[in-house]
Amino acid sequence: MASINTESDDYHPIVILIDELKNEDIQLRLNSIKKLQSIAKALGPERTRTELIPYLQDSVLEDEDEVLVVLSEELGNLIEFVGGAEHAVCLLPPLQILAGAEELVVREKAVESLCKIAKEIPTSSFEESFLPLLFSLSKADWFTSRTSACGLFTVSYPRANAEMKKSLRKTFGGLCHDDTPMVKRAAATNLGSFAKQIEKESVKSEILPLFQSLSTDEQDSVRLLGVENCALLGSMLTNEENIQFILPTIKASSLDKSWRVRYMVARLLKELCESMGTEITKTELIGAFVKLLKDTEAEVRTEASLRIADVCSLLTKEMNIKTILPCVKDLVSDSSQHVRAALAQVIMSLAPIYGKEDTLTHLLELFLHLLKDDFPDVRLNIISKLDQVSKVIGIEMLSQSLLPAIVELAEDHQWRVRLAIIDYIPLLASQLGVEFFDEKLGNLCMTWLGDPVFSIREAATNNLKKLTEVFGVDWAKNNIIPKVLSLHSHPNYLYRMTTLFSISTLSTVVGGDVISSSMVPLLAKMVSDKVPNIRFNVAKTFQTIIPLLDSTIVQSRVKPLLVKLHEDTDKDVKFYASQALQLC
Amino acid sequence: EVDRAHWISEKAELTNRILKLESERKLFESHKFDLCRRVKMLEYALQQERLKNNSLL
Repeated sequence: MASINTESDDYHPIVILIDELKNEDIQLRLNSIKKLQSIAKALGPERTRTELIPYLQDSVLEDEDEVLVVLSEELGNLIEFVGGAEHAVCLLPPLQILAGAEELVVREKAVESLCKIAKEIPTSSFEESFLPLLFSLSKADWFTSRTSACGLFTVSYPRANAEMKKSLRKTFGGLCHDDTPMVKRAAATNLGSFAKQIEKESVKSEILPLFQSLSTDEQDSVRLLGVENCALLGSMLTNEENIQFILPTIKASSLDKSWRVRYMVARLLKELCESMGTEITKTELIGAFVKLLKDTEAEVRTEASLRIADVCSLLTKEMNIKTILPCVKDLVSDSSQHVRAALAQVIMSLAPIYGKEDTLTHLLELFLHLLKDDFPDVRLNIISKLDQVSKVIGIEMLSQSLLPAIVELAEDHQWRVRLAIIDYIPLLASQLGVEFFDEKLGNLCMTWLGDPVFSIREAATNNLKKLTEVFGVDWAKNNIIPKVLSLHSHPNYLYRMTTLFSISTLSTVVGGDVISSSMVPLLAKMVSDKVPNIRFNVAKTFQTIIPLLDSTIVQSRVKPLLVKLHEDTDKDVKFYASQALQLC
Repeated sequence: EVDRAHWISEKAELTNRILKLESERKLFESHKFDLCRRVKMLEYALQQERLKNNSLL
């Protein structure tokens, strides 16, 4: 027994914890707090309550914020180790201190753990300990505790009795009128979820005035949080009540002098429309939306543009054409490229709403305008959503109007514009389908191979590879390969070289059969080209295709050609041929 | 001259690497030490529980 007793000092769990927390390496302290449960397990529930928790409460709070975050989280997980829900109250005091910490993340974790405990503990201890904790936090001197208190109302309200509920509402009201904007912000953040727990009568008499005072606050950071509450509160009230209480606030926010508040309205517009219902949206919100689309700040216009399709789907087509369409027309030539890109992202989704006729008369012109935009993101957004339009107006109509624009860009005299269009071709092809592509765009892809600018030719060969991935090897065998290979007899050696580059890129996707049947014979012909550049590029091309071919074909057909090249008079041809020979 | 500068920078890089690995090793060492102590603590707690149970029997 005696030996155990002397040992007990060294291996006493709290002593171990103290030792570990004395370590100067923060990583080790973090590790030991993360394993707090094993300490509690060794101590057993009773000694955890009487020894571990008081120790934590007194001494650990001087540690770094990172350790405190983990501690706040672990305390929430200790419920079963202190003897279950009926003893969970003992976890509250340390969490109360952590909820008043200076660092925001620590407080957030502490509030999270407190909410977890509030749901577990029995009603008697809830009233005796948890509610007093909530009240003392909300009356604390330092604002940090008061902001944390704001997060606890939502979980406590359903569990409190009638009298307590009344004082909870009163305390929350006090926090909404706090001196510091930080507390008001926290109150505004939690207002909506708190209101959801409250009886409707009290919402109208007590919460709505708070909501109104917060949304007319002098700080814009407080006001913008009110916008989210508009949607939450609106969904709880009837139509008439919404018109009376919520609508004025939404309207005021959409005309707010701070653009951040207007931005918030634009961002949450869909939620606002949903909570207000279609009637109010049609009569009232549409006007506010039009103003946001014409806002002076580009950020607000961007957010509003992104919501166009959502809002339009709630309106009738006539209203759409009368009110929204003129704004869209203005936005197409907006000065900010981000606004145009946002518009291009959603404008295609308008086609199903407008139907075939109106899409053709009103929207098509705007699509084409955006397709010719200077900013690449705008063009990309238009091209990547083409399938939505083709479903409505049919591929025939689309190709008639779209194709001229694409062809025009593909033959632009600026090579960067041509390059940009090439990048979109695989995407376009996958959206429009193989038949459409063969008929209209196939030739275009081939003319790029004969472009005077090398970058275009290079991009065009890569493009062919991507097209093969989209449409399959059989398609490539019939449509691309014969045309590519016909370039080998071009009088200019630079174009003959394009054939070689195409063979290198295509060989990785078409498979050994096609290479040996149509590519190798051609290479055999080009071995005796009179330009050395072509000859050593043949050797280089062999380097890429040898690993893809069957070894018997390599030995019987490729090796003799390389041996011939190796005896060339040109130094470079010799060099590359010998490199390729090593692979055989 | 260039070779020399290159050599010096390479040496500094390697020394840094050694320092980093050494400190990592030290960290692992002390972490292992802490873990051993925790195991002993749990062993001790288990022993105590058993003693209690035996005396009850």
